[in-house]
Amino acid sequence: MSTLHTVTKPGQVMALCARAVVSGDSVLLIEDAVYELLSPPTGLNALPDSCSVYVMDIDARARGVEVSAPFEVIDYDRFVSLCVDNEKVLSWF
Amino acid sequence: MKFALAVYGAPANSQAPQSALHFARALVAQGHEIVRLFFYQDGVNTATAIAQPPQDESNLSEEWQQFVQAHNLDAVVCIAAALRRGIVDQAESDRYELPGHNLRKGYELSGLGQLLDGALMADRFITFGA
Repeated sequence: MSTLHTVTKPGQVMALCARAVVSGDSVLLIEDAVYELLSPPTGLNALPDSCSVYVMDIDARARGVEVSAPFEVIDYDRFVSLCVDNEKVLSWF
Repeated sequence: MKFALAVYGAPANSQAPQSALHFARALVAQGHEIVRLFFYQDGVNTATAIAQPPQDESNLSEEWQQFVQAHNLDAVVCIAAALRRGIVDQAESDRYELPGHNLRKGYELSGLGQLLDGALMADRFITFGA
């Protein structure tokens, strides 16, 4: 059973989320959580290798944060699809 | 698929209502059903009728109300969170003998049980935290 974790803030919130993520889960960074991509991405480094990390396009662009592989930029339509594809959604804020 | 959404942040100091509206529009566009919207904590400020943001900014409360009414959504505002922040409907205004009421049409004041009910009814429950 996979879970989509939506993260709204960088720092401690991301770090706490990372403790709960297990193999096969997905993580979506929205709002200020996109700042997590600025170096050093300590919270993101704590994630298991087998989880996918997505970044909300409009939030990254609004903050001037560039997104590169392995992180994937998505829009709200894809956010909805991720909710459908995972059995649970956990919101971290 | 059935979705329930909770919004915890206010338009003036959080991105939560904006993100939730983007998400809700995408849900409807893809043919999903929104079985409950629940505005909690500072999120209740989204339902005020008398906030006037500057004219060069978007009026999120207005946009949310239009969305709720256009799709005839079940939009619940937490009554305890609303009362302590001065968001009241006609009935609560009368009960507490207040000088007016400001809950937008299309919303209903109710208890936290409606949040739990929404989570149970829906296939997916998404929180937009502040």
